[in-house]
Order: sequence, then C-alpha cells, then structure tokens
Amino acid sequence: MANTYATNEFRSGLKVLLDSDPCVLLDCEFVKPGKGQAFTRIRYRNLKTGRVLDKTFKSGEKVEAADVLDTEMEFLYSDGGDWHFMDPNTYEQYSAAKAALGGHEKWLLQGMTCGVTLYNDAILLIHPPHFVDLKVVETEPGIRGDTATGGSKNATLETGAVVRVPLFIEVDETLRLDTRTGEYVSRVKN
Amino acid sequence: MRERSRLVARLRAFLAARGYQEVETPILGPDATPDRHLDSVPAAGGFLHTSPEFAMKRLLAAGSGPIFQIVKAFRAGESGRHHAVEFTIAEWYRIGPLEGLLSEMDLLLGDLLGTRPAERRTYRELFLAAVGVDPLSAGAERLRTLAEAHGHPGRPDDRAAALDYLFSRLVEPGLGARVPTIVTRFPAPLAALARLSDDDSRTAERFEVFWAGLELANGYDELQDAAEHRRRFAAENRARERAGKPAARPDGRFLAALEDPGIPRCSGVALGVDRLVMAALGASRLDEVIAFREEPDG
Repeated sequence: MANTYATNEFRSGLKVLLDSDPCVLLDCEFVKPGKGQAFTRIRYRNLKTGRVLDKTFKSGEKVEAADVLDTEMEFLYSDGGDWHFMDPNTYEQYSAAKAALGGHEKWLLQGMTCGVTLYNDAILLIHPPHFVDLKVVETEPGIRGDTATGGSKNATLETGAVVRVPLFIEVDETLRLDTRTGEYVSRVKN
Repeated sequence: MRERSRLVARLRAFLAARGYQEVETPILGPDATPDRHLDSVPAAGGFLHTSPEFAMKRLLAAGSGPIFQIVKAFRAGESGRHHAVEFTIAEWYRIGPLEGLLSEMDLLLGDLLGTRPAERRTYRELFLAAVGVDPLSAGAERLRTLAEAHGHPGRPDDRAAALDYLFSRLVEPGLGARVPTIVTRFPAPLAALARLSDDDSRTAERFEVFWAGLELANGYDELQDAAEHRRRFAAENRARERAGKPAARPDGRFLAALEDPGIPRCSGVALGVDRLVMAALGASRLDEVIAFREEPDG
C-alpha cells in the first residue's frame, strides 16, 4: 500500500501523485463556505510538465505520495541520446533523457554538480547550478575601447552553448553565465 | 491584541446600550451537533459546543428577552487561514422579525469597523449575476453538473451542496469589496434553522455578512416550529450517515423548550470575532489576531 496524505496533512512542498504524475504542492487552503461542506483548495506544479494548476478536494480525501527526492549528482558525459550522471555518495550512475534536461543540456560540463529530482529512483528533472563558468571557444575578434557602448556579439562556449556577450570578450576567456536567463554575467579571471 | 480588546469592549457596549443582556451557557454538554457539515470536539465524555445557539434559544423560551454572548466555540477539523478549531463567537438574539436585526447589524459594522452603509442583495440576484443560473428554479441536475464543471471534486451530493460550492467559488469573491454586503433570502435547502419566507417558500430568512474578503456573520429569522426542527435535524442526520459520520442525537432539552413554552418570534446572528479583528486590522490570516494558536495536529 502506497503512502498517502489526507487533506489535513497538505503542506506546500509536499510531493504527491496527481493525474498519475508527480507534483509538488505550492499552496493549500482550507475553505468552508457558510454552513457548507469543507474543501481543501490547492495550487500545484506538475513536475513532469512544469505546469501550475489548481484543484479542489473534499476535506478528508487522500492522495498518494510521490516518491520524489531532490538530490545532487555529478554530470559525467552525454552519448548524444542520454545524459549520464553519478551519485557522488554511492557512485551509482543514472541516465536522463533529453526531456529531463529541459533545454539545460547546453550548460553541462563534465564534472559539474547539478541538482537532480528523482522520481521512483529515475531522473525526472535536472537543475543546473544557477551560475556556471564556461570557456569561450569561438567568437569574433574583440574590439578595443568599446567597453562602454554596450554592443554585443555571439560567443560559442565549450559546451556548445551560444550566448550574447560584450564586444571585448575574446576566445579562451572564462565567462560566468546565469543559466536561468541564459545571460552573460561577467568575466572570470583564469 | 489591543485592537481585539477595543473591538470586543465596543461590541459589548453596543449591544448593552440596545437592551441586550449578556449571558453565559455551558460550553461542555452531552450532545454533538447534528449539523451535517460540523463536527463537535469530544471532551470529558461529552462534546464542546459548536455554537451557543441551542442553549441561548432555551433562555429565549424561558422569557429572557434580548440576549448576547461572547464565547469560545469548537469545530473539529476546521483549520486554515480563516478557520480555527477553537474560535470566538459573538451571538445575539432580539425579539421580532429579521429587519430590526439587519439594520442594527449595519449600524454595528459602521460603529466597529467604520464601514459605510452595507448593500443588501438577495442570494438569487447575486447568483444570477455571477453564475447566470437561477438558484431557485434551476434543476438540481443542472446545478450539480455546473458545480462539477467548476471544479467540485466529484458530483455534489445534492442541490444544497451544488449551490454552496458555486456560491463560494463564483459569488463570494466579489462580495463586500467597497461596502459590506448583506446577502439575504438564502435558498430553502440552505435554510439551516431559519424560517421560510412568508411570500416565497423557495427562500429562507437567512442572511450572511461579507466584508473585506471575509464571511463575518450568519443569522436567521428563527424557526419556531418544533416539528419542523425535528424534520430538519433528521435530514441532517441522514446526510451525516450518507457521509459515513455518526448521527447526533438532537438536543432533547432544546426540542422540549421549543414545544413548551416555545420560543418567541426572534432573530439571531453569530459573528466571528476573530474575523472581525482581521477585518479591522486588514490581516490575512487568523493567526495574526489569535494569541497562541496551538492546535493539535489532525
């Protein structure tokens, strides 16, 4: 028998199965109109699709707990189809399909530590660090004396990601990038 | 806490100045409430009251005249932003039909909260405007389907459940925004212990007060007929049994008082004191106005 939570145990952050997908509760509220029936209204995020939805339960209803675990793993390599990670504590290896990367694969460098959401002991989602330092492998030659005008150009990074960078950036420099916005933050001294 | 103390003192003074006598009735008694949507908290072999209603009506039957009480009440399982298992009720009864109580309620809100005169709306006109369906004449099946379409978990048990859900989902959010809203003439299935309207048996003389996003008060032109009380209690207990809850023996002393000598024509209202303080302070959670909220889990 799977573990369940009754509505009075609902808390934000709880991981449950809704519509047979793992979901995290964002907000829950006890509502009881006038002399009417009690409900628990929740807002939740479907961890698979990322969609945020609302749902109403009768008070006392139960939902199944989702076996979801947030942990950290080291990125090993990609074989093109799958991305491979290792739990640094157990040395156990896990592979993730492209859907779990959510477009973040372009930030991953071998040896990087990433946040990982496991669902039923398989990788559901990969969360790269908010900031990553990556080396420029290709960009137009730098233009001196143009640091103040705010012009930009494309630079290709060692992971293959292409980002907009200021004109003074040169090949072999290491840059700090914000993976949430995909934007250049600063240069990093080598 | 200062605002709470000020409001309660002012509420007492308001009611005392209008001839209400303050009373105390037992919080602990032998019977649980038969209300289908309330669960009494067991204590000391009996139950804590969910409101002082029955005991106060026994006083009315005994000839008390207008009375009020400010007292803690307990409702099991009700815990949330606007609900606490242990909360404070102010409840008062005046002799005569509802109109006097409604206009007095409006004065009280102005006195305590500085609100402008309340707007009065019938349940039906609000429901029609927000839901687009007549709550009095639409078929039960139509209302149940509509509630389900608006997110009711599963099919509502009956007409009353569908109406309650639709009202809370679609109507309530728009109430009491600029001035307090007094909702009058609830549909008969939601009468609780209000008498049915003289001019339309599809509505009951029940009202609720909404202000600042909160349901503040609920009142009735009180049902006097003992046999009708028995019928309504029996209906509540049938609903409890359908929901897998234990039936509750209706309060025998209350029923006896209704039969002899009977209660006078009177109107009563229960006001949530904690919510009143929330409204006065613009608080968004009961926790902000209750000292030491320490509910057991579950």
